Amino acid sequence: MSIEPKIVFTGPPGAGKTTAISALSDVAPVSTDVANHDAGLAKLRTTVGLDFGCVQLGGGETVRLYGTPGQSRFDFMWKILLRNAIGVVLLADNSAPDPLADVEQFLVALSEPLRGLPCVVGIGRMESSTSPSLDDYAALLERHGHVYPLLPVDVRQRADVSMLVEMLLAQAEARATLEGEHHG
Amino acid sequence: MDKPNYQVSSIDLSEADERALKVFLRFVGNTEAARWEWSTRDACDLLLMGGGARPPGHFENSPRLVVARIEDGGGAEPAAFERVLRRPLQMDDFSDLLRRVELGLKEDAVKIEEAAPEYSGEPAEETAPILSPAPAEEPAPASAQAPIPAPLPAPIPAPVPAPVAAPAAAAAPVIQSPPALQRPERTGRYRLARWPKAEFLRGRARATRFLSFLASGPLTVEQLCTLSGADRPTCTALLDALDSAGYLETRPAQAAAAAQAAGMASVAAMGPASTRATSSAQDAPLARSVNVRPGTGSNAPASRRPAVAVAPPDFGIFGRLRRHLGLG
Repeated sequence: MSIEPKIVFTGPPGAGKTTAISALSDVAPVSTDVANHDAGLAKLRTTVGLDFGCVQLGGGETVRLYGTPGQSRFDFMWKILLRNAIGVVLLADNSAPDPLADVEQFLVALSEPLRGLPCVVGIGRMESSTSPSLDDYAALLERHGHVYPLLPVDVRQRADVSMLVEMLLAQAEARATLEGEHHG
Repeated sequence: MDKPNYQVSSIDLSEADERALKVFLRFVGNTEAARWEWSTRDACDLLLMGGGARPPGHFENSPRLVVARIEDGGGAEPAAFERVLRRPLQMDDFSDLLRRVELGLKEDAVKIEEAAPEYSGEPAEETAPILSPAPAEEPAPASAQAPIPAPLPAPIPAPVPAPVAAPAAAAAPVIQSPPALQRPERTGRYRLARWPKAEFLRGRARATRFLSFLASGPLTVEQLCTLSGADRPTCTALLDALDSAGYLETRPAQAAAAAQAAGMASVAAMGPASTRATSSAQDAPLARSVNVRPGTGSNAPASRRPAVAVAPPDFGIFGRLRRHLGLG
């Protein structure tokens, strides 16, 4: 297995994956949004394939940004996209009816690929919806055996999304250090 | 519940700096945990210094003085838990500093209370090692190497007349009791046991990067210093704070050495999060260029370990992405 220069944004519908990629991407992101006909989702359009953006580092080097479709019927794609990624950003919308259950659904569905990946959890709309708290999310992660960075985030703000990436990179660097120790 | 009152004062600051800090204090000095006031006396808990190497003598009246420096901006970003404010002064940074100092003062107060029964006025059976010299092989404490940046939670002790045997009550003010204030040596490996509660993180926004390192696997203090670019006192202060709050998983030094010898197999035994730290050798190309300074790694002799901040290593594409996003 080799790491590919890609970061995956995942999470339930409406969590802000498409917006987060748009905030970070250096090129107009490619989106596969279609009109939403799911009455359970309070949004006009939703992603059915994947979102794609990229960060251009210069010299032809690019970090690809992928957004997974949120609906669980596309869960086969989640695992494909996560494969060999630098890390995964799990986004949630705190104003959703049951955001903890939303996050848990992804923790369960992705339990295997998450074992080998840096991951950070970003919770949106915490100013308007204060419950559940970040501590509730931390307790949920702990129940699933994960210690992931956990941040409130406004995915419209590039600085907030960059901070999520920063947390991923910190984990990736620590892993590289441990890996170097192993092979050194 | 009564909250403690703390005093802050300054020396060698411009009128503008002092005025700005006093304004900040009005906004962020009174929290649920503590109340800060600007001191007009020669005693305080937090001294903000605009220059000079050590607090002037009259601040010896402050038994648990913590010192922070005010420096011009433009240098490297102060690491989390570093006691430095950079110009232009920012209220968030000042708030961050107050919260960190509060934590140290609170921890020390608890430990002093716990230690108090030992000081009953009876002569001590053994000489309290107030100023006992460090073993020759050990590096001098950071507070002796550098004038100010001691580990955060430990206040700068007021000088004592001489390291002689004496009745404990007479010779050793409670605040100077080394056994009560001593911190662990931090020679093992440390990993975050769980993500800290919001209460712990309040005022410590910059600590999240450190915590992300520690979330990934059991690291030595030296590895944490190298990854973060922070000095050892800064990193150990963070570990102390996490440990006190019950967020730290620790492996003793011997086990750490065994883990190092056995490589990631032993690392994986730390638990689920550590297991995630394993990746294949083919992962290396993205993370090559790990420029650890020679002799500063976890195998370096103690005397060569970084006592001061060093530039973080360059992790290839990770570093390039970090710079591209303006993450430093």
